[in-house]
Amino acid sequence: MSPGAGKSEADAKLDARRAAQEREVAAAAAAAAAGARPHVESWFLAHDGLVTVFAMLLLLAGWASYRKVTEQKTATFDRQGLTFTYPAGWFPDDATPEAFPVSVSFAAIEPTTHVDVRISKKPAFDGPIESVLDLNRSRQYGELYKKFTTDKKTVAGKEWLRSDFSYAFKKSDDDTPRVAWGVEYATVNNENLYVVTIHGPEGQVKSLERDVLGTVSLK
Amino acid sequence: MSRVKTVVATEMLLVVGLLAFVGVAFGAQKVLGLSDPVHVGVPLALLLSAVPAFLWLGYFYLQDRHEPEPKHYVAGVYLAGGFVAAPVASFIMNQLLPAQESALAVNLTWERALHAILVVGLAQEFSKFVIVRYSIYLSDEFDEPMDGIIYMTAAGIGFATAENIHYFNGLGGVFLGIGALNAVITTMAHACFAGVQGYALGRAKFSGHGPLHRNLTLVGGLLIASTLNGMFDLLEERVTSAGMTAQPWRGLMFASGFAVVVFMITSLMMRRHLAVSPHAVRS
Repeated sequence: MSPGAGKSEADAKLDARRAAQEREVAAAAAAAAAGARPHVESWFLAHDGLVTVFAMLLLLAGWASYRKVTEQKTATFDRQGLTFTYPAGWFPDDATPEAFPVSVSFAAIEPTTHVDVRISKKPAFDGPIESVLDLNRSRQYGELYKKFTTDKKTVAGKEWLRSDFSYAFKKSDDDTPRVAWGVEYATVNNENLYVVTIHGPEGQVKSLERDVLGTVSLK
Repeated sequence: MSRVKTVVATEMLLVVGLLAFVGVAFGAQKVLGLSDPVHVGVPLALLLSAVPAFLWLGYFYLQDRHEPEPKHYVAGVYLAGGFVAAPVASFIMNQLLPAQESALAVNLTWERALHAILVVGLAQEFSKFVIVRYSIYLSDEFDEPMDGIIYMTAAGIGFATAENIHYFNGLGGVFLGIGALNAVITTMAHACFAGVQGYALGRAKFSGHGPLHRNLTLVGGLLIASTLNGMFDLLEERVTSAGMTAQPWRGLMFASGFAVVVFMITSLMMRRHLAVSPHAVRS
């Protein structure tokens, strides 16, 4: 037996012992890790924590998507000094009205509910403005137009004439007539007549009056 | 009495009781000449909400024919549905949907539909799930898959009772006949949405799969129940207000049709659970 061969045998034994020790340490570490990991997982899963986490995430997602629907934009008619807020999901049919008198309608894709803005010269009529407005509405909405009340309302320091009314309309020529409700705010300012009207189903018109017409402001 | 006869008898009893309840309400409306919405007051609101609740509770309770659950446990879960799940869901919804903003969402968009499912449906169904999962689910009495449906429907009926009391005490008042019919439909709908979750709860506990599989089963049940709940709300609201005039009858009829379909699905689920019940052989 050569000395070199004897040394390598001793080294081999030493290596084998080291390898065994390492295997023991690795096995112990693996066992400790295996013991610890399922403990954490099982507590969470045993109490069905995944359901709660999932529910919370979806609630947040629902909330975030709804924020977009309830977001508001401000409509500004710079030249005429009129502003009001409206739902961000609605769009004006004329984003930059250049012509005067101004006539813009704000609505969503499905326009059963919409806000109309008309700004024109004050009528050359000495009588009460209420009569002119009523006549305009009866011409515009047809013979089934019916006014309920007219009263004065102050919004942002400006007095407006508030009228609520109903009328019949048809979505298309083949459609049967339906009843729509409207709330109109009108006022005269700097020789101009401002008329902002909400149209839609009765319940929605009432709630939108607060959110849209309640924010009208004139410079 | 044979199994089939028991089922037919309970279902007949339920239908007769519910028809009589709605008939009495419409009769009272006609006899008393109530052509406008009326404010019923708290005692009558409690009565009008409790009658359909007890009839539906009795129906679902009697469906568990192999080993009926202790009545006081079912009653406890029913009360928890009304006193805990309903206020918790209401709190969550109020946080995620401030009332003053709701008027702006008047048009049907996909965000609006998502909100109906992911906020309204999920908040309501999750609160029902929590009160059953962290109470009776841990008890030894929850010993067969069918118990999931029994206890979850009890929670759903308790939830609907609280909702109906709010409805009858609404500021604008209610038409007595339509109100009674609405209470019957709402109670059935909430019981069935919860029943879908109950089916998943029963499967999850007794399937023998690992915890991850159980969690995923429960998530699936919650998601389906929330979707059904959200669709029911959206359908009722949209159909009622479609066009320019509110038509409660139309909304109610569409919602009823939807609820009946979910009821039939829940009934099928009950049959499946009853068929594999460990108590089936003994009984």
